[in-house]
Amino acid sequence: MSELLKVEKLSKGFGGRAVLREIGFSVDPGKVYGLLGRNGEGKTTLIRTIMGVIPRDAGVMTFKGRALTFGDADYKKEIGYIPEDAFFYGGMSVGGLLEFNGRFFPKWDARKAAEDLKRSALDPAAKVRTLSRGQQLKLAFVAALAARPELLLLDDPTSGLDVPTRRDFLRDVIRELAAGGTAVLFATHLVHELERIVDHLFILQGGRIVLDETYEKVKSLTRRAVLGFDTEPPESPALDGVLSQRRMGKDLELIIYPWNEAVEGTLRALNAARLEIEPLSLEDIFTSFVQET
Amino acid sequence: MLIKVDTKGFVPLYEQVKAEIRRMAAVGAVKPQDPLPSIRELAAEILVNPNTVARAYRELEQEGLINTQKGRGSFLSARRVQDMNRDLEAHLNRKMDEAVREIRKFGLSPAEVRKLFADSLRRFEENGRRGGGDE
Amino acid sequence: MFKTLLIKEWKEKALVAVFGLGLMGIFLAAFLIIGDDQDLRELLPAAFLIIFFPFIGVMLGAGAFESEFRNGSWAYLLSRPVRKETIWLAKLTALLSIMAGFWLVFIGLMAVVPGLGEVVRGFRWFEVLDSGLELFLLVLLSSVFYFSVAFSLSILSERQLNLVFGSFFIGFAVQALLSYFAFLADGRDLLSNVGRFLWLDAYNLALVLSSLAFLGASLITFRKADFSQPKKKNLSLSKYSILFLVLAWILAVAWPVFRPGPGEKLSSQVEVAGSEAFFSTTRGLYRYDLVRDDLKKVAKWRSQFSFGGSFRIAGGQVLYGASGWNLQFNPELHIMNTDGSGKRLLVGGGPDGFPLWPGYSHFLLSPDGKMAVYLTDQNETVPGSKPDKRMVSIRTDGTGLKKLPPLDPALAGTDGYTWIRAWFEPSNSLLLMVRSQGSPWSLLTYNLTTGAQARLFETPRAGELNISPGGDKVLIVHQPDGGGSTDVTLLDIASAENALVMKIDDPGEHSWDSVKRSVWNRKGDKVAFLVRQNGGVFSPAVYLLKERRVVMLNNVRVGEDGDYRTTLGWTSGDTKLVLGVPQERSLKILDLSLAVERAIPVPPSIGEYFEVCSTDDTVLIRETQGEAHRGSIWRLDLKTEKWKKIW
Repeated sequence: MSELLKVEKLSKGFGGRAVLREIGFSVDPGKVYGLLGRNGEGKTTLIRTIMGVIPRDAGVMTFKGRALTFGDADYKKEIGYIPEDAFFYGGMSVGGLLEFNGRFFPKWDARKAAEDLKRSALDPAAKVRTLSRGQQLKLAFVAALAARPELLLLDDPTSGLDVPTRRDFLRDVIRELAAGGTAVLFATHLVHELERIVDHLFILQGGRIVLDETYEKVKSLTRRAVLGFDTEPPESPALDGVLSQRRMGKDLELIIYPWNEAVEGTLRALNAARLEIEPLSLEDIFTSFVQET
Repeated sequence: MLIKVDTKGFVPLYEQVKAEIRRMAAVGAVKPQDPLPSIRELAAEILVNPNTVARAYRELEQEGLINTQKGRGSFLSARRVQDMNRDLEAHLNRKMDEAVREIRKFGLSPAEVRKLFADSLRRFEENGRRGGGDE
Repeated sequence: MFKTLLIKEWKEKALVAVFGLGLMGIFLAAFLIIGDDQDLRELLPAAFLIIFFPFIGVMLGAGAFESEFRNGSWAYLLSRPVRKETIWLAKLTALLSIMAGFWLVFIGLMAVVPGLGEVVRGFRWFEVLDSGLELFLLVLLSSVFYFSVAFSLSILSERQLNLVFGSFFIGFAVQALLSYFAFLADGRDLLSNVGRFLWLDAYNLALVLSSLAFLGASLITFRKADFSQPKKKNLSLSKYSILFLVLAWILAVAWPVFRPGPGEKLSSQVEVAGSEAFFSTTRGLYRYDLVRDDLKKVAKWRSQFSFGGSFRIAGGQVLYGASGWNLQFNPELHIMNTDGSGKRLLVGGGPDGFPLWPGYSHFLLSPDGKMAVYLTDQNETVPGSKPDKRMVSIRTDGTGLKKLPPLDPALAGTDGYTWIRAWFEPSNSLLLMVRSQGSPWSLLTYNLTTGAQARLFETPRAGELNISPGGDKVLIVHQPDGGGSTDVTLLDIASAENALVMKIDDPGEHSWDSVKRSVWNRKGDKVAFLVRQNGGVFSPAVYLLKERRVVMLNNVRVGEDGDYRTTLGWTSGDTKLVLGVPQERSLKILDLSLAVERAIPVPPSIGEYFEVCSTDDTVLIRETQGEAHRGSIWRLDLKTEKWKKIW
């Protein structure tokens, strides 16, 4: 299966400060990818670079096998892009914007746009700047999807919106996923909803991809181990893959990835009074990965 | 279809969906020949990746619990009551195991665990209400 | 996609368009109200043109990217599948088309509103502009220029006010610089040209090229821009705009310097010496061997003017004037052998003694070709030197440059014009014609050996002056009464005696043109000319010196009244006259009794005007149709009556 999007040794910096350092990953058709990272870690920069909104300093981007230059515009026909903040022309009407947008995309499905618009209860005559943030998100979604893209790039579009709105958005995304094999690259720091739909995870930290793994694997191979000791807990046990550790009184909490039998054995060998081993939510996994230790 | 999935646990989402469908079949919430929601509808409803639902359906079909007919959707297949009972029993046992595991975290002894269950059962009979975990 | 973007841009700028039209409406109303106040009628449109168009240019340009900045829709536009060049071009096209619209409206107003068109066309502002339309063009180019500056700056920021100020500031600075260069160029006479101020063309060209420079820098910056890093944009734009601007100015300066001169055009001078004919064009000097039918270009020059260089032939030498290559008008005198060899610069290239103007009567060769004399500083100032009307002599080998003693003001007057007409060998004197304001025409002799000057002849009004081939006699056509009758007088240079050849009483409108086209035969014992008789008919006449009589046929019509195109020449060993009669498109051969022997038709491709230049069995005629015409030279073999085009 050939990759839809491939990024190799992508670097980007601003005024001497490196934000992306030799990033490399690939996106396959039809899968949902989560790009996790704390605020300011460079998710937006990465997505903007992929979209050709800003130039990269170094590296190669390939879309459907063709290498991309900064001036390339054709590949954008296959990508639906929804950024964090509203970015439409405020003076256009909803209907006008969709019509304007449609001219750029050869695969634009005006009928679908109309249907989606109706379903989202947006007034075609309303000016874009009068829409609430949630409505603007809906509009952005309609606009992006009516172009029948092969890849959806979502740059934290739901941050700042309330939970029901986020749920709605998620539902819309899922409906689209069910309809056709659109790949999704979903950058966010709101991990909770992503968890339900994600196939593959990237975690961006310190300008690099520190985790590039399927969600199943990450989930099944990350454990929280709580060891309760009668006396002072020992110093950090010699273990690989400790993402984080915490001391709470006489207890030692370790979060470990990847979990394997050797790890379990080492832990048991510490002869703690109490040993609990649990799975973690993605939110907790993410936090552990990106926490400064 | 009221299915809840929990992302916290170990159990993969698709397994949870399968288990939930089995449970509903076992308690009779879904009867044989009843149509199941489409993949799209179910995914949208419980907010999971449609692939997850698709996989669950696929595997249930392989196990024989559901039939999928092109264009008409998926249906619960006719099963012997025995099978359903067996499913129910398996389901209940799983539920018990989970509860016990949870309680054991607090370091209770088996006797104390038994006492907890007895108290819960009594409360159930007294109040006519469900006890234990919320459904 | 381009169309979509274009429409979007137009929609966004609709307000500006309306605003501009409103301003134009106010202007129109004001103009109509003003009515008859002449000064205001000129001032208002001029002020409007100068203020409104650059201003609207800046407003349109500054707003080019304003929508994206204000809406925050950068990311939206740049993430659409459309090339940045397309976006840039759509914005440029939309805005320029609005500006063009304003221009068209104004032009429409000029056509429709009574009086406005005349006022604009009649602008007499700034001495340098020939007409009001030049001001119009200048303002149009300025507005495009200011627009370009604003357009290129608008990528950098959304603050419209800053952009407007910045654009005007930069625009003024550039225009001031260009004006300064133009002023320098004009002052140094670097780029001026006869009848047309070349620096204005260069200025306009510089404006256009500067606009392109800014636009080019803007496109490159836009293409490369990282909108999250404004400083880089500033840097890039500055870098490229300065680079292109410098390029633009170099081109704008190079054009007037290196532009091709006028196409090769024949000039009016054709000289025959023996069996060789010499003629000049704007590109060089040609020698044609009449016997061998062989044409050769013997000297090359590039004349900045629409006429070629002048030349004199004597003693096997050719002395000719040419202009130097550098920007300053720098005439030089060159000399070479008649076969084209031995070319060398005789005089020129310095303030000391170079001729002001290598016109036909400003330099002369001695008959033996060993000396040359030329005029310098004839009532005009060479930049850098003092006015000094002088004749200068120099040996043709380049040595012995000598400033000759000035002309006696009693004879030559002050502040007059001098023409060097001939070199009288017997006394080594120059024959000069001088004239100053209000004085009669004088023919002077100027002895080069002794410096003695004498007046040979004087007349209130001189027409033709024709020196015999031997250099000893002068045929003078003049009007001794200052009008009324015309005398043809023969003057003997050595004895200073003159004899009346013929008197024509022809008080008509053109009394000064009663006798013309005089031609000596080779021996110098006969001279032929045309005389206009009563009724305006031109007839040929021949004066036989030995017999002291004039042969003329009365009432033989050879030309229409007022038609001055007839020319004549001697041919067939001076036994016959040939008349060139363009109005009948033929050459007429006359015998010495002036009877027409035959008429030879002229080829159809020869135009309406031609002159007979040379004689003998081969007749050369020179054809021309005016300044724009290239001209040509033909030869006719009298024996075979065959024509051939030589050049």
